[in-house]
This record gives sequence, structure tokens and C-alpha cells, in this order.
Amino acid sequence: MTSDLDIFVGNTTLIDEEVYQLWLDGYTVSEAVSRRLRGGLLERSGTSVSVLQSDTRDHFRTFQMLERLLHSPPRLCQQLLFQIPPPRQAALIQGYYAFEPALARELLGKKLSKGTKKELDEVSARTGLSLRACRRQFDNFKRVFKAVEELKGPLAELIQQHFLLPPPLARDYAAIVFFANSRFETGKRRLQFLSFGDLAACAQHMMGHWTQGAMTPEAAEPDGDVPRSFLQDLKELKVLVSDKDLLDQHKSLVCSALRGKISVYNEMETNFKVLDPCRSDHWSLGDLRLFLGSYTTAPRALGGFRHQLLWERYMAGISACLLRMYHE
Amino acid sequence: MPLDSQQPNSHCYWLTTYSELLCVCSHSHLHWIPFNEDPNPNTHSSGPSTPLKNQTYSFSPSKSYSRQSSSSDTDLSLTPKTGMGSGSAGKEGGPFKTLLRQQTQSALEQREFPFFTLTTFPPGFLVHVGGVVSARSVKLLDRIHNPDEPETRDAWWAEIRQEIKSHAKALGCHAVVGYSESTSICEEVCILSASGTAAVLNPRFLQDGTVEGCLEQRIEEASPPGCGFCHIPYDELNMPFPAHLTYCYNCRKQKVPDVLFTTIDLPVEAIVIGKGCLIQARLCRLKKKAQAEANATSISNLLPFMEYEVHTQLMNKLKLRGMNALFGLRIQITVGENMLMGLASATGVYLAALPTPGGIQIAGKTPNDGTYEQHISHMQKKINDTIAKNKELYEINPPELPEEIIGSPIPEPRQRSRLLRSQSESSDEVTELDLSHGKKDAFVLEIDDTDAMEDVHSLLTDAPPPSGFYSCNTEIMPGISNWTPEIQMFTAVRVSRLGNINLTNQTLNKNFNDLCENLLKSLYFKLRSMVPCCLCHVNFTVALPEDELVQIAVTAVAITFDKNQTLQANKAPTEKSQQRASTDNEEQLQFPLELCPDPLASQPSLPAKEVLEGATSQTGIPAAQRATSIDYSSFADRCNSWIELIKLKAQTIRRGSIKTTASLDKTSPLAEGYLRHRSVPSCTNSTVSVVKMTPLSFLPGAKITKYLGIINMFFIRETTSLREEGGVSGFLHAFIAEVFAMVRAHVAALGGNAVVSYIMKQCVFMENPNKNQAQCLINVSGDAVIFVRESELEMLPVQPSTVVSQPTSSGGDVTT
Repeated sequence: MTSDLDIFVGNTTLIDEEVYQLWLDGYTVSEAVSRRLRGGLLERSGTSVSVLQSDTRDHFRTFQMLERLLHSPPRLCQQLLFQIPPPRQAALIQGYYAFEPALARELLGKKLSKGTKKELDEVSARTGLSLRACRRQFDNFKRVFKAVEELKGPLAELIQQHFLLPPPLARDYAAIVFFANSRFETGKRRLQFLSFGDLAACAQHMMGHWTQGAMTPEAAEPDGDVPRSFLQDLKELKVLVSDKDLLDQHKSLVCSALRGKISVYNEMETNFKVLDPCRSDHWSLGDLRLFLGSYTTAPRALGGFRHQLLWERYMAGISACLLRMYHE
Repeated sequence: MPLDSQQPNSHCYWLTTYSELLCVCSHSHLHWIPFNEDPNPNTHSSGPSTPLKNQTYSFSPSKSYSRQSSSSDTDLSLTPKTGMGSGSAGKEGGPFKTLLRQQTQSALEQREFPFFTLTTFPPGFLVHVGGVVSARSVKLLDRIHNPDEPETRDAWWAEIRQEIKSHAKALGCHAVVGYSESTSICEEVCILSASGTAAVLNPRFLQDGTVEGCLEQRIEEASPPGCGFCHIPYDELNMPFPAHLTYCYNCRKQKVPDVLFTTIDLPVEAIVIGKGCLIQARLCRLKKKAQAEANATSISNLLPFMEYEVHTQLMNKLKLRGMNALFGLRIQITVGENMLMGLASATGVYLAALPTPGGIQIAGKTPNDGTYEQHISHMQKKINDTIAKNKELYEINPPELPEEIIGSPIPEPRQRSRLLRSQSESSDEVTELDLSHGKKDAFVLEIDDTDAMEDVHSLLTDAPPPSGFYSCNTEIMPGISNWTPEIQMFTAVRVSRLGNINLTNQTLNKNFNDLCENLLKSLYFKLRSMVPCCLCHVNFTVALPEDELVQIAVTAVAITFDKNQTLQANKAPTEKSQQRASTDNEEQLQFPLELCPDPLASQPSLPAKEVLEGATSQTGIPAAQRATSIDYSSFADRCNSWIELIKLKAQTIRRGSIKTTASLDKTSPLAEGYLRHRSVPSCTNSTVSVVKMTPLSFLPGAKITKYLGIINMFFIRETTSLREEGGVSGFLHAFIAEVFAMVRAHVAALGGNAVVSYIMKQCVFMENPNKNQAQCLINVSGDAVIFVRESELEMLPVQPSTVVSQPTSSGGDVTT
């Protein structure tokens, strides 16, 4: 006796969080059933395998129907087809947009293109995530990226609005968009020790200090980009390095304040390198903080240095990033 | 009903009314007249009277009925007689009561059909309940002359209603309550079915009398409220069927049967011990594929056996649960190409007024075989264990009554009833069995063939619901009262192939049984997060869309209840009745009829008034239509004028002067509720209004403040890309979800926030996987209402309740 058709529709859509997670993890129905079986559900509920199969199939079908709505969370909240209490809706969205940090770390700074999507099977193998889950998360990144690409305003807030994500998750997505936009080479070997969390925090600091939105809230530029003007201005700061005089003065000022030996690199691309020597010298985090503080403020005393504001804006971002990156 | 006896043609298509053969009085005993004993074989031998020839072959209606000998009144003229004191009723009770009954009876009989489709009534409305009456008839649809005209169909139904009426009369009842009609069609063959519960109604409710009249009569009221309806309405010395009567276990004054089957909901005043449970009987019978009359004949021949088996199963399962009454009984016979399916659902309870059911005894046919006996005794032990377990599960602990108090009023030569098996049983074996060691009213299951063995097994395989779950097919579960507002209505549909090679009745039965059991199990599993909860109004519908394909659709509502308060269960009936009877003003009427000014309606509430208004709220009849005194001489007139009035009102409604429009100021408070939150796009401030749906007539913990009108919607959906839409399951899942959504949207558009009395009347699904196509038709209906939570009523009398959006609510009350 086989059931050709077997459905259950509730006036309030039934969501089983456990099954939802299994679905999100990319399991097939039969895999999910065996996982549920292993979880001891049969013993607890005293039901049969066929019931479990039918239940799992039913939930998966529901999730498939919900998926197209989940692609645009505001639609999920406005649709009439599935009556889901708001807290449940929020949980569904959060679950759908949740991602594995390891996967995000892999994709960080990469172009969210078809080519990258094709590489997902390797990523899947490295992270231990199922390909399906990888694809969903990749598509989520891409969807969020596309949605806010052309928008103006603070990234995290935009994402929060468009995808109804909780603030921390929205901030993470903002970081992903930021990296995808500015293509930081986060894949470099010497940066491998940094986790997604570290980089996301850096992205937030950089956005917080450097982007247009940080300076003037009604900024005209998209928030994900570091403004071109700012990058242009940074060249001016090179005087601190290129001008031997200034560099020495600066160095002596900092040294007098800290009595520490440092090397300074002002190039944005290379500023991370400051960490290596510090680590090799076993600096404490407190030391680093002190150093960066005085390093930032020292040029105030420098005569002939005209970019004080720009310098401090730049250094605020760098310092925060460095502090975050500086861990064992 | 436009049926007049000068239209003899209307009977030409009469093939067999099988209820002639089997009077299902369901008092535990079936009155059974086998084919060959029938005094008038002509009436159900459809063979010679082929409908085509029938145009010349006509017989008078009265002749066409072959009545069972036990029925005392077989006169069935189509224009009902109005003679006083006709029928077998009126022999019990005092003279006044007799008079009352005669008054009512004649009044009711003047109506063409004294049928009530309602299943719940105000306390005291049902004086006596006789038992289930039912009738079925097999017809050929292609023999209707004018398919577009209703005459033929009207005539068919008129015949069936007459039949029902005569059955009710035979039971000493003058009315039928909880009445329903249904059809099952396969190709050109159609089974018309009707069933209801024979009852004696309280005349007070059927007339224009009001409060004072009621109060006067209350003194005369003889039977106590908790058990009166169980007392037999028929004459115990001239019973329509052999029944086992005892004195009422509650009042000890009047006679009650040992088992009571009804199609109505449990009366609110009924005294119940323990909890109830859903009981189902399931049956399949193969039949040969045939055409037209041959087909109709074979169906007609099978029907009585099926109904008998279904009753047997019901009776056994009832005994197995230690219960003694069935409510909400619904027997569905579905006809397919090569099989017939029977599914009976009911809610079993233990009525305090009826005697404790005896156990079930198994008797072997070959008593000398040692291993066989061992097997039998093993089974017997299992059955006894199950009964004991069930009694514990359903908390059935009736007070022990000394035998002498109850006594046995009727001399009983054979102090047991024997469970008959239709095909396998021959009467001479009865005397050979020695059952003296058993309880005197024990049921005996005789195992004399594999069939019976299967039956016993299937009895024992019915798994009880998991702990924390209860289920019933009535509105509310007897024994549970403290419902929480959390409800979840659902529809589940399964289509299954019952096997395709070498089908036998046994495998068919087993498969069907498994299908139903699995479906129930999966419901329990799916809703496990709602425990402790009860599945109420569990409504199974069986269809046979194709050969060997069976489709089962279930709609029910799961309601969570508070386990900690179960001890207060005895408070339940009164609370419930008040809930039902709480009607204050015109606003409460289901339809805002234009009422005549009635000074009485605004009087401060008298208890009896509440009761009466309860009737009003259930029937939709304005309170103002009740006059102030009782006048027996004109009772019938009043009854008729009352009906006239309703008809008038109904016409008014049809003409459209009814104010069902939800004017803005009166729309649900939720409209404002969600407008306030519209600006913020966030999940927690959804702009979508929540609409609750329930098959019940009420919402637990809520007060219905306005009825907005009936919702009756038909949907047809077709796909030519079945695979792409996720196959049949994906297609139907999406469709039913959309049907729900459309009903909700419709209700929300009317300003309502709930649908009550929701029912899916039709769900016809057809597929053609080869063509990648499927079609489905769904018909649903219900009442759109505005409800307000009782808690909110108390807390915020002025502020509009924000039913829809409670931003930070814990989720408990925003569901559904």
C-alpha cells in the first residue's frame, strides 16, 4: 500500500524547527528521516517510520513553497498564503539567512559571480557543508549584495530593512557586502589566521570610520564603498612616510611617548603587516593600543603636516582593525 | 417539498431502499430482516422492474414500503396525518405529559418533515432520544427524464425522508435531530443516504411561548436534566426491537437502554463519566464491476451487510473502551467501481445514566481443540487487558451500584446479547455455547472463521492516541472544559492505492484500516507540540476516485487545554451552556434581522430566557418571535406560523435587505490595530491580519461579537505541469493552502477575524500523471465572525483589541 498523495495543511502553517534546520543543512528527505531517527524521535513519540517519512516530506514541501518568499523576507511578512505568527516568521528568516562563518570566510573578498558559484563544491569539501547548503548561503550573499548594491545609506541598516534580519546578522552581511565591493585580498596566506568574525569586525570599523556615511549621514555614495575621495586623500598622508624628515620627527615623537621601536607602513594595502613584528616581539594588546593611540596623536605636534583630520580618520579605522586582528 | 402522490412516476426509479431490510435503530440491537423473510419481495427486487420499463410500471407509495413487523405504525401516506395520539408514543408518563407529547407530535407532524439538522440544542430541548435512524437508497442517475429539473431528485429524497420519519415513529419519537443527507456517486449509480437521531422534543421550545410559560411548566418537568434524554421514548412492552432495558442509573425512575447511538452532539446537561474518544469502524467490500441495474442491484445487496458489519464494529470498539454511548455518529458509505467502503466515525462516552457495558467474550467454534482453546483464552486475556487499560485511560470509574437497586425490570430469558456476525453465523449455535461464567450482558465474539479472527485482531490493533492527546468528532470533548485559546485547524488528504493484485476483502479491509490508523497517527505526531490537546470535530471523508484508489480527507481542529484545571471538569456543562446561550441583544443574532420591537427581549435575564435565547443563537431565530403564553389548542397553528415567520425572514435575507455589510465603524477592532503598525516594515508588526478558522461553532476563550454572514466558496484548479509543481502532493498542498488563504482574506475583507463552522464539503481530485495534468475541485463554507478575546473584554473595555499585532507577544496567542 503506497500513498500517492499525502498532505497536511494547517490554518497556521506548522513549522518544525528541527526539520527546518535539516532542510537548511541541505539534507534530502530520506537523509533527514534517518537523522531524525538517530535523534531518538521514534522512541520519544512512539510513532512509526512511515509517519516520520510523511511528516518530513510534508515539512520539506512546505519549506520549498516558503523558499521563494524567503528570498524576499518582506514578502513573507505580507503574503497571505501561509499564516505564520510573526515570531515564527522572524525565526524562519533568521534561519534561512544564517550562514556558516567558515563558508563566508572562504568567499570573503571574492566576486559573487557564477564562476565562484562553480567553485562551491571545493568550498563544500573544505568546510564540510553540503553543497546545497553552500549554494543557498552563496545565493543569499549574492541576493543581499545585489539588493543593496545601488542603495544609499548605512549598509547594515539597509540590509536590516530589506531582509528583516536581526541587527547582528545584518552587520555580518554588511561586512560581506563591503568586502565583496572593495575586494580586499583576504585570501592571502598571511591573513589566513583571521576568522570571519575578525574580518567582519574590521569591515565594520572601516565602514564606521572611512565611508561617506560615517562622515555625513546623508551621503551620496553607496555605503559599501570606501569613497574614492578618501583614497585620493590618503595619498597625501604618504608624506608621513616619504618625507624622511616628517617620518623621523614622527618616529621620535612616538618613541619619546612610548619608548618602543616600531616600523610604520602607511600603505593601506600593507598596513596589516604591522602586526607581524608586534607579534614577534610579543607585544601585549594594551601596548599595541597605547602605541596606536600615540601614533595617531603624534602628528599633531608635527609642523608642516596639514592633514590632521584625515590622518586621524584613517588611523581610527586602522587602529580598530589592528586591535581586532591582533590576537594569538 | 413538492411531492404529491399524483406523481407515480416519481417512484419508477426505486430500485431498493435498503433500509426496508434493515432498521438501524442502533440501540445496540439491529433489527434485521433477511431478504428471504421480507414479506414483500417485489419492492426490492430491482431486476424485473428495469427503470426504462418502469414508466408504465407504477405502484403506489404506500405499497412500495415493506415495513418491518415491529413498527407499530406503518401508515405512510405522503400527506402526513395529523390525528391526535397516533403512533405508539404516549403510553408512558403522566396524562399531562401525554397530552404535551400529542400536542407536539401533531404539530410536528403537520410539518412535512420534522427534521432538525442541528446537532446541539439548549438544555431541556431533547426530552428523549430514541436512537439513530437511517435510510439508504440506490438510484440510477441516467434514468432521470429531466436531469435539469429537481422533481425526480426531490421525490427520491422525499421517499427517504418519509422512511426516516417512519423509523422515528417506530421508536416512539416525533422528530429527527442531527439529521443529515449525503450522496455517493460512481458513474451512473448513486447511493442516497440519510441519517438522524429520533427524538422527542420539548414542546416548550417549539412554540411561541416565552419565559413565563417555561417557568410554569418547569414544575411539571418530570425527568431530571442529566439523564432524561436517555430514557426510552418507546413503549417498553411493545418495543420496536429487542432491547435490553434497565432502570436509569441516574434517577432510577425510568427505563434506559444499555447502549445509545446518536448523531447529535452530547447534550450539555448530560452526565458523563470520564472522557470520550473517537471511535471508527472501517469496512471495505469488493463488488464486481457491472453496469446500470446489475450494478445497482449488487450494491443494494451489499449495503445491508455492510451497515450491519459497521454497527458490529462500532459496538465492539465501544465495549472495548468500556463506554456505553456514541454521539456524532456518521456512517459514510462510498461507492466505487469495484468496491464499497464504509467508514463510521463517532465519539464514544460513558453516560452515567446507562448501565456499565459488559465485556467482550470470545467463543471458539471448536471447543475440543486444545491449542485453539489456548489461543482463544490468550485473545480473551488481551481483550480484557485492553478494556481495563482503556478504562484507566479515559478515566471511566463509574460508582459501583448494588445490583438490587437497579434490578432487571424485564424478564430476560437469555441474559446476554449475542454479537451477531452477518455472514458466518448460524443461529443454532447460540444455545450450544456455555457463557454462564461471563457477565450477564457480555458480548460474545464467536470466532468461527478467519473473518472473525481478523475482526478481533483489528479490534486490538486500534492504537490509542498517544498520551496527552484526545480526539472526538463532536464539537467538544466530553470531560474536558478548560480550553486555551490556542487552536490549530487543519486539513489532511491522502490518496492511497489499496493494492492491485488478488484483492480480497480481508486485505482490503486491513489496508483501509491501516490507512486510517496511519493518518490518525500522523496527525497526532504532527500536532505533538500542542499537547495536552484534543482533536475536535475530526471529520473523515472517503472517496473512491479510481479503481483501488482511495482518498481520505480529514478536517479537524486541535485545541490545547490546560491540564491543571481538569479537576474542575464538572463545572464544564454549565459554563458551556452559558457560553452558548450568552446572547444579549440583536447584535448577537447570527444575522442582523430586522426584529419587531419586543419588550420582553430587553428584560433582565431570567434563567429560562437565557436558555431560550440559547436556542435562538443556535437556530438563528429571532428572540422576538416568541409569544408570551402557551395555548395548547392553537399550538399547531403557532408552530406553523413560527415556520412561516422563518420563511419570511429567509426571503427577506434572500432579497438582500439583510445587513451583512460590515460598516466601517463596526468592523473588527483589528483594522485599527494593524493600521497603526503599518509604517514599520518588520515581521513583528505584520500588516496581515490573523484569521482563525475552526470547524466548531465557537472559539475557546473568545466571545463572538458579530456574525458577518456565510462564506461558501467553490474553487477549481487545474495544472498542466504537475511534475513541475511537485507532483500531486505539491499541487494539492498548494491548492488547499490557497483555499485557506482565500477564505481568510475574504473574512478579513468583511472585517472579520475568524471563520467558525468551517467545513470542506467537497474535495474532488483527479489526476492524469501521463499527461502531467491534475484537476481539483474544492467547496468550503463557514461563518465569518468577529470575535473578541474574553481576557481582552475584561481588561480593555474601551480600547480596540489588537488581535492582529502584538509585537512582543510570546507567541502563544498570536497563532492561527
